[in-house]
Amino acid sequence: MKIKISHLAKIEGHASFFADMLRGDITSAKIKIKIGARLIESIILDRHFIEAPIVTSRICGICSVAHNLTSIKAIEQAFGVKITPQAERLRKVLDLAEPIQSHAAHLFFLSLSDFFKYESDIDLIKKYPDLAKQIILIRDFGNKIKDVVGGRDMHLLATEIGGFRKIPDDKLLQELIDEADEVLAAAISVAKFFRALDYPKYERKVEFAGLVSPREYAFYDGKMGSSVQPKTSVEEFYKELSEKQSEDDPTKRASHEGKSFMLGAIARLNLSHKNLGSEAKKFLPFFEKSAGEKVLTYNTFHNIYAQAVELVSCVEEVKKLLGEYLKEKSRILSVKYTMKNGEGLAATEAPRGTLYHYYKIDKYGVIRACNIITPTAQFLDNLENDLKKYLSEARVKDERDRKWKINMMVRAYDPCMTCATH
Amino acid sequence: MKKPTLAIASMTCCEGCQVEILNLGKRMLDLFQIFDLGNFAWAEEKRERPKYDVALVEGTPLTHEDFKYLKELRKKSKILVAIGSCAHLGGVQEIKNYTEHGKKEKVKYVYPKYQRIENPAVVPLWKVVEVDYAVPGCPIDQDEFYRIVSDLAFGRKPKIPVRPICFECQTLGYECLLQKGEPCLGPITLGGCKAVCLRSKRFCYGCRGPLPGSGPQIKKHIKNLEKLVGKKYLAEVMETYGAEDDFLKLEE
Repeated sequence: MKIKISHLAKIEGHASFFADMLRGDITSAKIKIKIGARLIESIILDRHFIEAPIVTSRICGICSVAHNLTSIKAIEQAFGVKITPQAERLRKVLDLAEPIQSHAAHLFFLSLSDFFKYESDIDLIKKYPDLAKQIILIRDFGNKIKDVVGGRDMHLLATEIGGFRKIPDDKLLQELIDEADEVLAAAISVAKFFRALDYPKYERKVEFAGLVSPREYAFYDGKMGSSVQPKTSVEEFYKELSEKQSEDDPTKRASHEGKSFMLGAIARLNLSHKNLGSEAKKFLPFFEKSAGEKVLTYNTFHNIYAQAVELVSCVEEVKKLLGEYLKEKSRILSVKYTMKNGEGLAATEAPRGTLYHYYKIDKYGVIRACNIITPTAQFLDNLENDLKKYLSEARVKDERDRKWKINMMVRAYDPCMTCATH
Repeated sequence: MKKPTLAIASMTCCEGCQVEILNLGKRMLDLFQIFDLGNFAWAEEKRERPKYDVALVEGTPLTHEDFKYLKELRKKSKILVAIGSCAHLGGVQEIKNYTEHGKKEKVKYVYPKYQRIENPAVVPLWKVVEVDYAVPGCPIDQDEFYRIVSDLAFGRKPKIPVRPICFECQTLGYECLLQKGEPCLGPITLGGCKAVCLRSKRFCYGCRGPLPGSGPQIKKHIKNLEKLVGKKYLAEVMETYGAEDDFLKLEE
């Protein structure tokens, strides 16, 4: 029997789902993305390096900060630029603003209706007006950070190779700190709401990977952690990834050592929960970790809850970093650098997982090679494997129920199809 | 009174203009009150309507399905609005059209099995269907978008004041980067973005397209900038958001 959903609604971008079923077992499950190829990696070739962070930011409107900063970091790596500690603090703040805005949008607008089987968010807003207000407050906060520190709420303007083009107004930063407590309270109440939801029972043992850092819940920087191998450098891990062009759509999917693996909020939470903020840590008892297990959960649906926990932690961390920034006297946010020929690879944690940018630049500052591996391109295979197992195991009442289950699993991943194709 | 029906649709792009609509926050909820909303990826399961009063379209058509849907949407919509630089001018992906070795070279670099990839020239919406209005910018400016869409909801004809970026830049007291020798397209670009790039000391790349009705000034400014930074670099600047052909077209 063939199963087909021609439009997977409420995800970033357009995609369809196809599966084959034999006596209740799913023998194949495929996500097919219906977005054109913009060829971002090749259109920036032969152009000046300064354009890379501008153009690659446009890969994705929901995680433009991650693309912008990863691109800048990779070029800094190629030139051997070291930015000031103050500039690094502000970059970290920007990088945290993105999951705040992105997770909040995904949790409420894309994922929540699956738990109540509402077809429309308009109904959801009517049913939970307070939750809707909290989500909007949290998103506004994330966007305001990007505007104050990065020059705009999307496709940042103030960030640049070597640091920042403009020093943000201290008064506006203080305003953000003042607002943070109310936003934190809202984030906590959103997380409580998501803690009380009924997540489908499901488990599959997979590898979780993402940036880790000894003292931080890593987003901007770190080494590559994994639940199945010792931590390693970004360069090493990148070498272990292999990209393969999909047969069905314009994506190049990446696997780690030939296997599918998981990244994003659930992976970060499994790897870095010890470094969560103190309020966010209070949400960990939700998980019933079995003895001997390194990770908190193997249930993919918990990616949704992991986003809610991260929301709390990110707001806590933003407040802390901005406080540290304002306490320091120095406002030197930009360093001079000389361009030279070289190669640079960098990774950050985008809301949906580890994002890699690689560039080769010649002595005239012209981009000669580029490769970008997005989180969604890395986890699409894992999503298909999860769908196969989940649909084979779950008790499916009828076609409508099956469609609902497929959509819910897809949305739990929070895939970004625009990133996956770029 | 029956609410006007609204579609918010995407061709191939970063979908950032849709995110900007989401970023309207409380004002987005107001829009949901004024319009009967069909087809908005962030809010509803797709409920395609037989007719729309207003269709907002972001992105450029790149796939067979994109083209088909765009034409279909045009047929069933009273007013079709291009939102963002992609729909309006071509956007960053239009850089492909300007490349020396052409689009085949570009697709080969990214995809080993490139024959499978649909790779048409990148075109803004108006080259495919009739477009009634454009909300320019990469991404769109929230206030301008809200004003234009409110106008449409109440049957008013939306207008963008014909003034260059410099008007807002000077009003807001930002430093003039042209005077510092940077190839700023501010004097020849349609304003309305609050000179947001200049606020961060970044010169204008012309993402909102040429200032209407100022062909001779545009020609002169481009000549001056070519002398300042060279033809190649200036071309790169104008190409970034797919506006080069739009600026040069007016020049003739």
